[in-house]
This record gives sequence, C-alpha cells and structure tokens, in this order.
Amino acid sequence: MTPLAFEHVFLASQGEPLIEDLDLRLGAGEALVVAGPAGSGKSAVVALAAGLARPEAGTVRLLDGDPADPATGPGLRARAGFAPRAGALLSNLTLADNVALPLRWHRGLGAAAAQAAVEDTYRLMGAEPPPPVQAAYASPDQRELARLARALVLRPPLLVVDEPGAGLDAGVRDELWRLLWRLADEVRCAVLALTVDPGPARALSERVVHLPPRRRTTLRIIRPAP
Amino acid sequence: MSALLTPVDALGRGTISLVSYLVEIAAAVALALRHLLLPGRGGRVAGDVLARQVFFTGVQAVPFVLLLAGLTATALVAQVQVQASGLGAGLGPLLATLLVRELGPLLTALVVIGRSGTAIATELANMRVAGEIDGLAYAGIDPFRYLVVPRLAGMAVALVCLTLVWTAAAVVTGFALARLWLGNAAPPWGAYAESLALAFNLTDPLVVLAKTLVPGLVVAAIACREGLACDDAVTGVPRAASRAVVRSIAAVVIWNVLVTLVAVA
Repeated sequence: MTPLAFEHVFLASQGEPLIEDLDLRLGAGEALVVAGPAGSGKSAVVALAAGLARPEAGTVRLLDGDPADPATGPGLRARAGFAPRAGALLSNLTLADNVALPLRWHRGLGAAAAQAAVEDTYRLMGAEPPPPVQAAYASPDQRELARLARALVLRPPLLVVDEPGAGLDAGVRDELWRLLWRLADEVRCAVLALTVDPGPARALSERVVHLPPRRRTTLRIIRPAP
Repeated sequence: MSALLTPVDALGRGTISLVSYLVEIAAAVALALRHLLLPGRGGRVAGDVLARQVFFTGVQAVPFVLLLAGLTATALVAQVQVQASGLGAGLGPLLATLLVRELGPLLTALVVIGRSGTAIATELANMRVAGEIDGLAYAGIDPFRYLVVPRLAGMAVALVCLTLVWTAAAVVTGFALARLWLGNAAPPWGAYAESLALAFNLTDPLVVLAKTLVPGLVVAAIACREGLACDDAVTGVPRAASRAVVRSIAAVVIWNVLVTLVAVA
C-alpha cells in the first residue's frame, strides 16, 4: 500500500495557479518534509491529500483510494491521521475528549476505554496526559500536543501534519520533530510534514521538498536529488 | 431593465430564493430522520450530544415555561372573568381551545427559539469561523451526523415535552384561579376536569403533536443551517443568530396557522 501519492497535480486559487505539476509519493514508513513560505500552497497540499480540495488536473491517492470521493473519502480520512492548521479542536470539549473523539466515533469505544487510549497516545508522544481543561482555555502548548494526539490516536499508517510545533518555543518544537521521525522509524507510520521553517526538520532528515514563493507565473515543485 | 419589470424581477427572485430555502430545510430534516432511522458510525457520541441538547432545550427551560404558562393562564382567566362575568362550566372548553391547542404550542416554541435556536446558530457559526467544522471533516467525522442530527432530534423531543409541561401548568393554574375568584361557586376539580376532557376531541393530540414535533425539527434545522452557512468572519455570527430567530418565528407561526385551519376544516 502506498500511503500517499500525488501524480501531476494542478490546483488553482482565485484563478491563479497555486500548485503545478506536483509529483510526490510517500511509501510506508517514509518521512518527507514539504517546506515553503506563507502562501506557497502548503495547506492546499494537506487539503488535497484529505480530499477536501479537488485538483484541476492530476490524481491524488490516499491509502490507495480516492479521498475526494464522497463514498470513500470519510473512511480514508478516518484511517489516516491529519493534523491541519485549519482544523481546530472543538472548544467546548476537554483536550482529552477532543483526542478521544475519533476513537469514540469510528470504533465506538466507551469513555473509560477511550481515556486509556488517550493516555497511551500521550505516552507514545513522550508527554504527560492532558489536563482536564476545555480546549478553549488550554495553553498553546497543550492545544498543539492535543492536535497531534488526535491525529495519532487511531495509530494511522499515514500522518500528515501542517506546521508541527508552530508558535511553540524551540525546545518543544524540536521535540515534536524528533517525535515525528521516531514515529516513522519505530511505528512504520509514513509522515508528511509541511512547514515554513525546514531548519529543525533538516537536522533530522535529508528529504525536504521546497515549494517556491508564489510568483506571477506558474509554480514548480522541486524534488531534491535522491 | 425597464422600471415596470424591476418589481416583477424582484418578486421572482424572492420566490425562487424562498422555495430553495424551504427545500433546503426540508432536505435537512429528511436527511436527519434518515440518519436517526439507519444505524451508522458515532451512535454513542451523537447520543451524548442529543442528551445534552434535550437537557439544555427541555429540562433547563422548565422553570421559565412553568412561569409563562401560569402567567398566560392568569391573564386569560382574568379577561374571561371580566368580559364574560363568570366562568363555571365554560372554563374547560376555553382553556382547551386557547391555551392547549393554540397558545401552548406557539409560546413554547417561541421560548425554544429564543433560548436554543439562538444558541445553536451562534455555536455552529463560531465553530465555522474557528475552523472546528473543518477539523471534524479532516478526522473523517461527518459534521452533519455529529452536529445537526442530534440537535434536530433533541430539540423536537424537548419541544414536545415542554408543551406537555406547559399544558399541565396552564390547566392547573386555570383551575386554581377559578377557585380563587369564585370560591365555592367555581366547579370542583372533577367537574372541571370532565369539562376539559369533553372539550377535546380525538384529533387534538395529533394537532398538538403536529404543532410541536414539526416546529421542533424545523427550528433546529433553520438554526443549524444559518450557523453552518455563516461567513468565515466573526461579524457573521450575530447575523446568523438573528436570521435563525426571525426565520424560525415566521416558520412556526405560519405552520401553526396552517395546522389550525386544516384541523377546523
């Protein structure tokens, strides 16, 4: 199974080309970073991978299925783990309830079993269990950990993270990057991370794809040399 | 466009807009009922949301509904006493007609619109602005099934139950006031209850159910629709709540009048 594949994908935004001829293939247990400045299309890549945006041309395959198909898309998204910038936690639920929600929804777990799974996920991340606060009142660190934990709680074969550790202090951010790479190595989870600053990621992986800043003309995705 | 055609054009566009809105609400109600009847993912989670909705819309509104029912019955009985110079055997049929068949369902629906309709529209609009709806979609959770279906079901159940509470409170208050005003000249409880029962016919439960169950579904559908259709900006939130209230009141009043006309025909 190929967790994620983009083949000659084109996407426009407000009549302007945003992504042109994106070719990207992520194998099982592989880690890849897509780096680019603001407005270069990183969040669009996440939306395309989840099937919540349709490309003008080309194909996107998520876990060997079509994520944009209304019949199969929700199931594929449930099996993968997405941590988008645009997808906020539910503010009226506690951090733990937010993390447990995919478990309870897709697997029908009761509250106690879901709580145990949440604590297990935080242990996997090397973090303490979340405090019993509503997401609306949690600190940025706590919300960022919960955002990642919610994507991991179902132990997906693919994790897509938009701006891991954004807004956190450098130490916490670096720990998060180390966690992502550990997931790819130890849990055989494919990881696609998108970021403005590839510095912390480059220290851990040679495989970085750069999205150039938007220009008047079309954009190109540059693949690094193997 | 000629000045003569402009109002015609506006009328046409308005009619099309209204019809498409009604179809959208009807489709939302139909889809929600389908989700309720067919099992699917997230049943336990949606059940929790439904229970919270019934508690907020129904249980927490009981004190206010009791007060409103008591005051409305007081005003009605007082007017009858002044206008008709006596109550006696006529009180039961009067309460049945005005309070139970008409005012009870309408005023209870207005309470629910004011409390829960605005709350739902505001909550969903805020979730839209904050990106929480997108978060659900990215997690493979159907926002309609998680957010809309339990709210429709919860509000319908709550409105039916609240109307029963209203009815009981109004009937008891009417009796108590009659005894207060007329003393021993007022009918005893047995005669009062009998006159009330005789004033009802077999179709009345169906009429009251139609005036509570359908508005419960429709008010929730309108509130959810307005909240989810909010602009991606904070300024859209109060507009969503305001539209939800106005459109819900119009829908409930029109529907209740139609049911009354059909019932008396």
